[in-house]
Amino acid sequence: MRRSLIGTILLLVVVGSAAAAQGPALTGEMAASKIVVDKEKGEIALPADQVYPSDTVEYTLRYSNSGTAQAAGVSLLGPIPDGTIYIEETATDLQGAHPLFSIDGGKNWQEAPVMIKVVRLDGTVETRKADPALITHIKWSLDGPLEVGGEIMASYRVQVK
Amino acid sequence: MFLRKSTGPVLTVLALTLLLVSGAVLAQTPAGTTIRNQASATFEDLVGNTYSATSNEVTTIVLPVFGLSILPDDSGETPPVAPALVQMAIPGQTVYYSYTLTNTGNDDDTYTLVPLLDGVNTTMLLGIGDIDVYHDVNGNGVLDGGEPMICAGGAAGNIGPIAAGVTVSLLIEYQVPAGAAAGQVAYVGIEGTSVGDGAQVDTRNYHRTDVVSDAVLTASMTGLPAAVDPGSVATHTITGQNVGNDVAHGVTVASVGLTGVLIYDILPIDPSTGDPLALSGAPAGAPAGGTVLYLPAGSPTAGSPETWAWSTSSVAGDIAVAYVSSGDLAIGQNYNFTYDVIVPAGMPAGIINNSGAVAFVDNNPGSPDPTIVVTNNTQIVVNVLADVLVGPAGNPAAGTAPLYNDDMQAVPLAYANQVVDFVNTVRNDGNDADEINIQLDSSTFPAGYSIQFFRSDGVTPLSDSGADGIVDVGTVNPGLTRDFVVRVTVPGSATAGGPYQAVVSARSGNNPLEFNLTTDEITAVSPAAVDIGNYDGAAGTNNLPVNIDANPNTNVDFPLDVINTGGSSDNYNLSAVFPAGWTVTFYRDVNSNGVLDLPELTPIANVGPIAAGAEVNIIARVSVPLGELPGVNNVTFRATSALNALVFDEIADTVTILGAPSVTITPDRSGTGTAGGTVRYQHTVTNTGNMDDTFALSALSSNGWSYAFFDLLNNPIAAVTLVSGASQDIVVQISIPGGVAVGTIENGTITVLGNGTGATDSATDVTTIVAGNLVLTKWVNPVGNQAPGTELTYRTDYANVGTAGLTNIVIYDAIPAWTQYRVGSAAAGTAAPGITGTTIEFSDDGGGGAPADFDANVTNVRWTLAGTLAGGDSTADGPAFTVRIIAE
Repeated sequence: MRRSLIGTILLLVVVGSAAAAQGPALTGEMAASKIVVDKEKGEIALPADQVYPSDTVEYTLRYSNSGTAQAAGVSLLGPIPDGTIYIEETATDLQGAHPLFSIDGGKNWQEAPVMIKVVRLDGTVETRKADPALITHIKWSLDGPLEVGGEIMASYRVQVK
Repeated sequence: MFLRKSTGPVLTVLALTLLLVSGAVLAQTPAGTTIRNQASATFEDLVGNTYSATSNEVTTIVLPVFGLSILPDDSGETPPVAPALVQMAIPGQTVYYSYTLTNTGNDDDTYTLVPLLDGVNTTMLLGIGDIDVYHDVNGNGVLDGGEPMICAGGAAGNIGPIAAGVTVSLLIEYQVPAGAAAGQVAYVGIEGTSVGDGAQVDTRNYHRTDVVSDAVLTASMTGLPAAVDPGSVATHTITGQNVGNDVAHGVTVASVGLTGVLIYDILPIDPSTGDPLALSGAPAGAPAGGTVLYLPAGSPTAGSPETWAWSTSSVAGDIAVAYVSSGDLAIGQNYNFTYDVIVPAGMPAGIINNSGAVAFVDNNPGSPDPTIVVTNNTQIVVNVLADVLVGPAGNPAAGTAPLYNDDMQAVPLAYANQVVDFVNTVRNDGNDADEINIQLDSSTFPAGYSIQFFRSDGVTPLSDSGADGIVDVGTVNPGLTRDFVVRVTVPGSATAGGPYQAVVSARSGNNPLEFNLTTDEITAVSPAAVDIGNYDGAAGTNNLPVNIDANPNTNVDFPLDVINTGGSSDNYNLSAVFPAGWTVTFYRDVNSNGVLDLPELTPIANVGPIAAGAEVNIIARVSVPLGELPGVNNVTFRATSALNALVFDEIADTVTILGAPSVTITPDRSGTGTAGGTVRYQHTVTNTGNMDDTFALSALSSNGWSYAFFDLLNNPIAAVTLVSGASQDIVVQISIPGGVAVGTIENGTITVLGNGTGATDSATDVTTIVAGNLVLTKWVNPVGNQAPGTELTYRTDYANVGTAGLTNIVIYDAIPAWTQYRVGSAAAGTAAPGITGTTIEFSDDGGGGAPADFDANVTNVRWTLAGTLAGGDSTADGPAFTVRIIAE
């Protein structure tokens, strides 16, 4: 699991907003970067407006609590879009929010490695590691609340088919 | 509906998933595809309400990549050990070699082709200019009339554009020189270069032509029709001729004991099952007299085909079919073999590739036997058949055949401001991956309701993964299902009603004419609701009216319950109807004890969000003003839904104002009188109660003297009638009997007594009998009510109304409360006769902090008059001083 410092939950000073609604309010944004490897500089993140098949795209989710009360039960959800395949071990492993994976559109979740039960044509059932291409969603569920002004960031990578 | 729907058993999902997904991985994403992604988050507030927030949508466009593959390949050596193809030919024969070119990129592309000749290893007299390349449009391995030449005389030429993933057939044609000798060879290949990306080249692909003087069989295959629907029959035909100059001998098929030229084909495979396509009808071959052979399932296909375990009987699952002629094939003699196969109803869209072969024995003892000639590869397109089903969760095939449009799922009851999610499932019953669009076909939901589509995660909105501008569930592979959520948001202002239906269509992206409908219904909608009642200390409330008795000028608290009887979280604004002059203030009874506690003294205008079915306690504090009359007063408390201002509830309570009679007579007075004279004191009688009454006037004299009462018009009175709050001034006159000794003190107790209510009060007038009688008359200027800051001048005139002279006269006066003495304003005035001088003195035992020219420390002024004031003397310009009414 790739562990990222920037993935740590940040607790920031409350900045009051007269216009803020009562209660928690999460606002989020998603960014996409094309990841290329330079022999000298290592990984470089480029704009992902345009990609080629087999390129690597990193999606970064950044959510903050802009409300007036802490938010409980916070879960971030990152879909694997059509035309891409999740690259294993690229989902940020947040402290207090390990990534969970779904292979059925978000109904069921499990930690990596994702296992799947395969019913073979002869009727036998085999449990084996799921092909990453089956993963449809990644989720991070915070153990504790997200305080007012707090921010959470997570990322994952996909490969363009 | 366009096609009949299948309700047959669904294959085990996971097993099929692996099979199909693994195949899909190999496909490149087409150029121009927009990859869309959108994050989402769910969270809860402190009371457990759940919310979601979606991010912006990021889009990425897939750029084109180019590539090609020309098959078959040779083994790579020069000359190749294993050429791409090998044919035998006699001198003068025109040979044709079939190749395929596949666009392995993700976008349309055109390719430049050029034939190659290995001049070093080619021993026959052949030049590059002798070689042509054609586009074998129908892929039958035979150059048909009208099929275009790509490379004329060895020159480069272009073919295309060819769509991504598409394979086309090529034919290389040249004539073996008539003078060629047996044993000579030619190595000819073909090179293709992508026009889109010149670095993408497929080269070599060398085949070999061996010049012989022997039997030479041609072999080509056709597959018809060029495109078939699943469930149809396709026909393959292998044809050829002995174009050599000797007889082609047969091979001996040991398993059936027959010898002849063996024309055979390993049947194509249905990729969805791995099974060979089943034969249909009776295969037929020529020359007549031969025998059709079948290769049972499980038979090995290694080694020479005549060694395989052929059978003359057909059984289900046969993996190959063949025709063995009854004898040799003479020079120039044709042969053919035709058989039909069934394209399974569930076969995925795509290409059926197939090629056959013919095996014979030539006349050259030095060459290995048998000689096998492979046909071209034929391609039959399996048409895309779109078939989409949508229905309630997990049951996409719900509904009545053949259309399956009448299926429905219903939520029996929904509440205002509630979000209702319907999970629907689509299934791709077609034979190709399909981007299934989701649209609202029709709706009976009233205005104000919103209907949105989400992915199965319930938070990511459906988006258009293609370019048709319609949201979809993404690409669904054949046989697979995908859930999506139809979210109906009931507005807070929703009124009672229903049923309401949303008809949702799932429409094939492959064939927009193919769609299916399903209906999501909310059978009944219940509006926002609230119940406000009197506090009962338990769940629920008391809707019976409550009365509280109260005195005027007091507060009464009504503890109340507010219950959200709706089906979703709501807030309620609080208001009340009450008598004029009263006030009602609401507070939250945080600890629900029915008492307004000190920490709860924060007024509220609404109760704050209340979850469906939950109850909160509040206190309505009613302030009763002073002077409120006795009686029953209605006080109605209302809670109004923040979702729908038309929704409210009330509780009508009462406040009974108790009778509170009260009267005052003020002030106490004192003065002096002389024997035989009268003294008059003015008092004010005020009905300070909340009941009208008539108050009798009476006096109790300490000396038994006579008292009389007058109004200010000097009319004699015995009582005053006052409504609640009213006042009247009265004058009390004391008649001092003659001969009373100087120094006698008279205490008069003046009493008012309400006739109806019994309210009573008294004032005391103290009169001292003096010999002389100094009468002081005090004046103020200006008179009447004055505003703060006004300066008032008080003057005290004095007169000796007695008969004896008065000495040592000292006049005291106090600075009134709420005033400040003007410095230097104390004046002696005009002295009465006999007064020889006036000494003015001040007392300053309090106060302070007055503005300039004023002294708040001055509390009293004293004028000491020197001389004697004879009886009958007086002054009308007595000592005076000025004060200022405090304005700060």
